[in-house]
Amino acid sequence: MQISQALAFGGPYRAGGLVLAVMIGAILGCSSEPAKFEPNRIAMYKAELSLGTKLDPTYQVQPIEKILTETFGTPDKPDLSLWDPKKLVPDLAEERADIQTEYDEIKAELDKALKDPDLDPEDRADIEADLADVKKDLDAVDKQIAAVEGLVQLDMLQMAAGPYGSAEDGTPRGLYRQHCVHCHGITGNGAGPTAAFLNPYPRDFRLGKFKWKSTTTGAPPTHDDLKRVITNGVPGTAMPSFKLLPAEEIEALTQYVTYLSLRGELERNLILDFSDIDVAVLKPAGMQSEEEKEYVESLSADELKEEQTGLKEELAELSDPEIFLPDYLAPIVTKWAFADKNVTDVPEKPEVVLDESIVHGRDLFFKKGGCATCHGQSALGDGQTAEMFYDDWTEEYYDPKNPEHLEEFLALGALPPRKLQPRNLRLGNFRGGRRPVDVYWRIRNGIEGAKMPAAQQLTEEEIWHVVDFVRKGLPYDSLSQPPEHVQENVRVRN
Amino acid sequence: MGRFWSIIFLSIPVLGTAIFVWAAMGWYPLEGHWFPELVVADDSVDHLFYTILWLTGIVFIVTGLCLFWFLWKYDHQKNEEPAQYSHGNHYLEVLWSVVPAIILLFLAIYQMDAWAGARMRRPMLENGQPKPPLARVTGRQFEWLIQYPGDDKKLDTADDIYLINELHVPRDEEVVLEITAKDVLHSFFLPNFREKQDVVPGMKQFVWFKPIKDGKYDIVCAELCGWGHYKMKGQITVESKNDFDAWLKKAYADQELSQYKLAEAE
Amino acid sequence: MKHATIGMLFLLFVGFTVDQAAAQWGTVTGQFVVKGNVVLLKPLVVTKDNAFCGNQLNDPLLTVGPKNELQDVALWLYLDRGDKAPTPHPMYAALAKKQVDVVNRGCLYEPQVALAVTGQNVKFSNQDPIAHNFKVEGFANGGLNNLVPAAGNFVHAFNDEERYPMNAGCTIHPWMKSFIVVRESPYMAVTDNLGNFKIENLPVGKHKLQIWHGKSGVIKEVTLGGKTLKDRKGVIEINVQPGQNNLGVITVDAAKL
Repeated sequence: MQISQALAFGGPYRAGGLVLAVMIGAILGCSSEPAKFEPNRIAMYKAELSLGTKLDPTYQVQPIEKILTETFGTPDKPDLSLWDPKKLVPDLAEERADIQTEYDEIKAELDKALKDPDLDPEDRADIEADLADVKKDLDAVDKQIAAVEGLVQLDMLQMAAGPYGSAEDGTPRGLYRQHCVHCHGITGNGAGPTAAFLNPYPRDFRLGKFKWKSTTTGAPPTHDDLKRVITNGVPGTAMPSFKLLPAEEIEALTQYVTYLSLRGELERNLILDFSDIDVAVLKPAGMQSEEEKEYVESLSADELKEEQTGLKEELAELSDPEIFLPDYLAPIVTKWAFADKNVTDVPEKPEVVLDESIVHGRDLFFKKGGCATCHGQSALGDGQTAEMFYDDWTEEYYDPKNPEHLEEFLALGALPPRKLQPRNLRLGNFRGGRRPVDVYWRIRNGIEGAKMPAAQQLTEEEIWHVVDFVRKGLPYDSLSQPPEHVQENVRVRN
Repeated sequence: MGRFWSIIFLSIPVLGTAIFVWAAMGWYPLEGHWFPELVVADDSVDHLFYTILWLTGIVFIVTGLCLFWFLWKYDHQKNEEPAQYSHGNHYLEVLWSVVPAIILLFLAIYQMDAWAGARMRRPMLENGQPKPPLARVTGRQFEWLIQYPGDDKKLDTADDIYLINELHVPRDEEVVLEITAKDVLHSFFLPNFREKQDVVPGMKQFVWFKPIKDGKYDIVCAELCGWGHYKMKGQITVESKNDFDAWLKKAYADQELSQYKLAEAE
Repeated sequence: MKHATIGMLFLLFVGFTVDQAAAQWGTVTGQFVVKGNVVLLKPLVVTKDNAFCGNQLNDPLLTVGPKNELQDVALWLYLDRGDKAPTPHPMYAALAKKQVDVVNRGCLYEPQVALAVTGQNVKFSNQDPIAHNFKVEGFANGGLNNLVPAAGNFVHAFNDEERYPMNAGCTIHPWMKSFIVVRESPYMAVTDNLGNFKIENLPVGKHKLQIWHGKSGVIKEVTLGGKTLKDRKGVIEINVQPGQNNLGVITVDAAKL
């Protein structure tokens, strides 16, 4: 039967063929490249601006990528083969070896002494005491090495890395991509696909700075701090609570965040060092700045050759694991591994009558604590009127006093800067946690990455008063205060 | 070729019923496609569902078979007689208007009790006051904020307990929850409790149920609320009253943690 | 025998003097002057605590003397990778134990550029009747951010060398800004209000100095003794002779600032 108005379409089989082709295409899909870590273009451009010249891809950018891939692997395959304590913290490994030798010697001495029938019990006690002391030292060093080794473990990282799915034995894969990547990005740069729509922006792990932690400013967070944030989320922001995930998966994600943070910090250190090296003589002429061209032209052919060889040696040396592991990675890793040393202990809250404590706290809030200066006379967060409050992650690329290069940074993937407001304390919402210890930590240590300073002039008791005031003494304004809705379901039928 | 197409039409009632039965039985590979386990005392929703399912199922199969039968019987290639055009059958048309209307009316009246039980008969205390809610559940992009009133039994006081995505209820008693939303529309959906109610920012509503089986079940969001709607999941735990009280106490203690010391090394 | 003893003593004496002569030190001085028209910075706008700080403050970032002498230029010993730092003169051991003072006064930091060696105590004090907070951002050192009430202070030592001076600011009064140089080697100086600097007792020989100013960062081009020295990282090479080494007037082009 022919429908007269239909267009002739090349015969009955052409349509079918087209449909078939589309179906096959849709089923097979396009090939996709494996995910790759993005280089920290913002830090690189910042270095280029301060030096007045471009970074050379072959001698400066690619070596950095190579070192990072060797040390950390790829988003699909994390690689910790270089993380041998002997290479990473050779001093510690050496110390351990020395103490082990000492231990063995004393042990041998003890064994020999025990075989001696005329052994004086005092001597024996002495040797045993020595042995115990050395054992304590050995344990302490072992603990330190264990902290370094346990910071990131390959089996945990493998659970978090890679595409979403599961391994043959049923363990999950791709947890980071399943839960975190769309906000935090594959490199942990806080600029994933949904990041631009969020206020506040997701955390950029690469600076190694975190806000909600128990350690002092300048120290990395502990493993427990990160775990707490992942488990509880950050109330009032888009960071959800992952409490319902199995404990193993939360652990894997915590270690992967640490891994990304270490990687980011290493990258920044490497960019600083590699950009410091003057590779004017090795750059192609098109990439040289005016100054560099002048300098290169001022050299004789021999001088040029000499400098080129010298530079290549220097760069090769920097890329050698024997050099960069202890020089660059070890300081970062040890800071993280020993973060527990910087935890601020919270003393027990003294028994006080709540109302009295609140009165004290109010006084401190406005006077000695200096809190009202930023948080405002009504604690609404309106105390600070300066236009120059931006958090550290924004100030990486945006200086409110000199915003000339902002467009270029935005083109490189930076998110539009947002002013950082002091917290409105009357919403009853505490992003870092609402427990008394959490609020204590904020006041005692300040908030790293933000502008809140540490109130180190307040005594512990005074801080507890301020904690009471902030948690229980402020009037509560809900964010949306609609008129009361009269309940209809109370009506009783018949 | 003609009768071949009528066989295709037969496949609709046959395959449709077969897949339905397969899923209801939970055979491989269609496990998990039927109802989640019912853990509340009130099974009226399930009962209604099955009633309607049987009614409509029978109608579906009968009409499907009829359609097939007529296609088969009056296939062009097997029938010599020309088609006869009639002006319809008045009796038939009355019949198939009235019967469905009666069925619908029956269903409408039959379900009123279930609706009233879920939306109108709020549990009451002995003194005639409505039973106060056990907790307030607030939907927020993309989590469920839970707030328990604490010892003074009043919400929005200093001893409230705030949790995220974690709701506990005691077993074997009527639980009333106050539900609302903070920013956009969400829907508080408890699959195992047969409870689903859209929550509107600024509007306070109540849902109630009586759990009868311990366990951990899902809270999911059933109203598209943004990019995280798919993962807006919470967990509701049903446990004995004693366990519930103990848990609530512990949750309050955790929230009021006012001392912290790094565990000493051995 | 007697001759031998006298001979030995004589040799000892010579050896001793030669030894003393070998450990020779030189002091480097100079004066930084800006060539050309200096465009002074706009005054800082005070947005908080105006009752005490006033409404405007002179920006201390760029301060020049009456004859364009440049204040607050920092110079420090620069080492190439792999070079060992020279052993400092014994006088620096005592100096390292002294305290460096960084003060908030009149809603501004004093000094604009503070110098400290690694491990040296830096005392941060607030001499104003209003609260300030000291927010110091380090790269090798962890940062710190401490609220100090009126008449308060705290002491902190920075244990790692910073490649470039650390920024010190105040978040309550965001216009307040200064710099803290932390180096391992004590050979560093800051020019005073007449542009003069002095680095005492450098070991004799060739050394590299890195020159830096808060406004421009490293100063990439200077004119020293009639010659223009250009370096991407602001590093100049000097040859220290025993005794006084006056580098004379070092000119910086106003445009480069």
